[in-house]
Amino acid sequence: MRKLLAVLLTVVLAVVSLAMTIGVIGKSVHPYWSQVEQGVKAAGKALGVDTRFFVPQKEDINAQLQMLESFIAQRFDGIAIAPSDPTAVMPTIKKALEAGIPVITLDTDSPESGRYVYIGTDNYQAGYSAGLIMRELLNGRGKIVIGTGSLTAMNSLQRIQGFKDAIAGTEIQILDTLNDEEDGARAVSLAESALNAHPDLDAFFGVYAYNGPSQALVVKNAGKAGKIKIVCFDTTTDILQYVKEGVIQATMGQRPYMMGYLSVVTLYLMSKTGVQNTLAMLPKIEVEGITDYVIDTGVDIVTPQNLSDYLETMEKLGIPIKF
Amino acid sequence: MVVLEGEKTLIAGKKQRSFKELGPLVALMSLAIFTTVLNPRFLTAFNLQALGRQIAIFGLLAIGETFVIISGGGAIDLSPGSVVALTGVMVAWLMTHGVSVWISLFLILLFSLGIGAWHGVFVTKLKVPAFIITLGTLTIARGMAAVITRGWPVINLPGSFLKIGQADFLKIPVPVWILIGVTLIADFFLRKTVYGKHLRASGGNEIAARFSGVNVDAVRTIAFMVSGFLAGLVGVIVAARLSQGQPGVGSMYELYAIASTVIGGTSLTGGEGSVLGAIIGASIISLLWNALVLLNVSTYWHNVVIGIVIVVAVTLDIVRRRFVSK
Repeated sequence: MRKLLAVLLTVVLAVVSLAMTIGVIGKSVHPYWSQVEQGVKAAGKALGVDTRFFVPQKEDINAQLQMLESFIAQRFDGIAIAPSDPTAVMPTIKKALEAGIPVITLDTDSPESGRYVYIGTDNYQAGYSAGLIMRELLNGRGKIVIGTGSLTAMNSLQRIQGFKDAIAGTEIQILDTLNDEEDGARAVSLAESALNAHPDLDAFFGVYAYNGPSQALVVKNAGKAGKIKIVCFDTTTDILQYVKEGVIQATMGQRPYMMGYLSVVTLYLMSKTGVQNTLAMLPKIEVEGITDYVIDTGVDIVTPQNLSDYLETMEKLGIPIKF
Repeated sequence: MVVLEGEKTLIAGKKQRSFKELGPLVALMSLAIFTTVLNPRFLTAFNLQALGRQIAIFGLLAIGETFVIISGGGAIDLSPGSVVALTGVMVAWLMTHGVSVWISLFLILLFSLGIGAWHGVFVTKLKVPAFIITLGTLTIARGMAAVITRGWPVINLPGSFLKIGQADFLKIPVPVWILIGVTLIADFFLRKTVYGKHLRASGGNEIAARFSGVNVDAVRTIAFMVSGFLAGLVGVIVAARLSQGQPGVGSMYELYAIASTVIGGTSLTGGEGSVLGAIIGASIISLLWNALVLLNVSTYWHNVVIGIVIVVAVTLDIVRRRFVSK
């Protein structure tokens, strides 16, 4: 009996350790991260890999680090993380690499950490695209207000910088940049205040996912839909609803599903074929003489004109968006 | 003779009242005038309506917090901000799953009363510090909001429901009407009824109150229920205002509510407080949010200014009251 148990246990242990496990750590509970999770799960299913997906309630670097350490302790075969703070995460990423676990970043990078690859939106480029659209919408002149949820997070700063560089040299004036600290209700309040303070306002630029709909709500209720242009980020259902109504003129749809999917695929390859062999296949960039590997997942610019095409594409990916 | 004495206390009470909210009221008026002088657009109807909706949100939470803090025994409610998020998400979820608007509202308000009762039982019967049990709810409610939505905003709410947050009646936003109604009722209860007297007695001197037959436990539990109920009401208003149930709203609202209450002259040790004061406090904080944009203050400085104003307002009031009582 005892022998049988021992054999059984060994078999169970062998099976458990045979299955490859890949961990993905996101930033917060948000639709965006639900799509990342869908991508992670889909890739795990396709490759026969066990995947663990974790997000803290709200952005919380300590919760991320604790989970990262627990993944290291469990000897996962690969870890992808979207660090809420690029520097705070460095020592723990180094720990993972020393333990022989490949680490990559997704959505948000930590270039100094020694991670092998970054997979995500090039936020500066995406902001630049948003700026170009704004130029076109306003014919190169007008007054705008920017709404964001952070003035310290890199993704917010890079988007705003890209946007500013794209409208540089035109007669577009940024009157104000408003920080609501990721509170949708405060974003509405600030958009109302801005609309009132600047009666000659021509457009809003929304940096975070909820900024666009907050601005759209205010513009629509003030009866200025279409008159005050809105360019924003992400493709949550409420944003797409406003795009459909023509209240939002353009939104930069990121590809979170792709980020999740490609993270698992990349880590799988690293585990199966070795890190260097995998890197050899990836797009290289040269930064100050050092070779770096970045996969830019790009953006889908969704407008009232191409909305139906976009929805069709998402449907094909297995992410039906209903609203 | 007795009548005379009663009249005397009433007159004395009136005198005290006119003094108690004077400080914060002057501060509010000064802020409003200062903003108007620098940017006359402060007084546009659009802006005042927006401001009113904001004041309603913070004011209702501050009234609830006032009741809890007056009840004494170190009572404080840290849960309102998270309860706003949870009830907003729940009411949206119910309505998008075929429950009628009125029934959804009824269920949510009942649920938020339940949260208050839950706090009351823990604090009075199990002797768990209010700070801890409401901190627990803060965390649980935030988590539940995320569980229900997975972070997705719950959209496509019925138009009749959105009126609660977005419509105006006689040019005054509906949330402001709700605030006026609740303020009148709460002020009446606090100042004119036996319950109000017992509430102040419980917070002022708990042992004396118990000896004179006040059911301190019941009084305190009811105070927590008032706070829970109002948090649920604000959750409904915010969801209607945003046209969606959003799990991320309401962060730090409990702290704004507590600050509003203290600015309005409620003592954190319990026993005394004022509903009108709490509304004035909430108005000051809401006005700051609004005025800093109108005054073109860099957004980097917003929180610094709000923090400084809270500290200055409370300190001035404490100093002034000490001065008056001398």
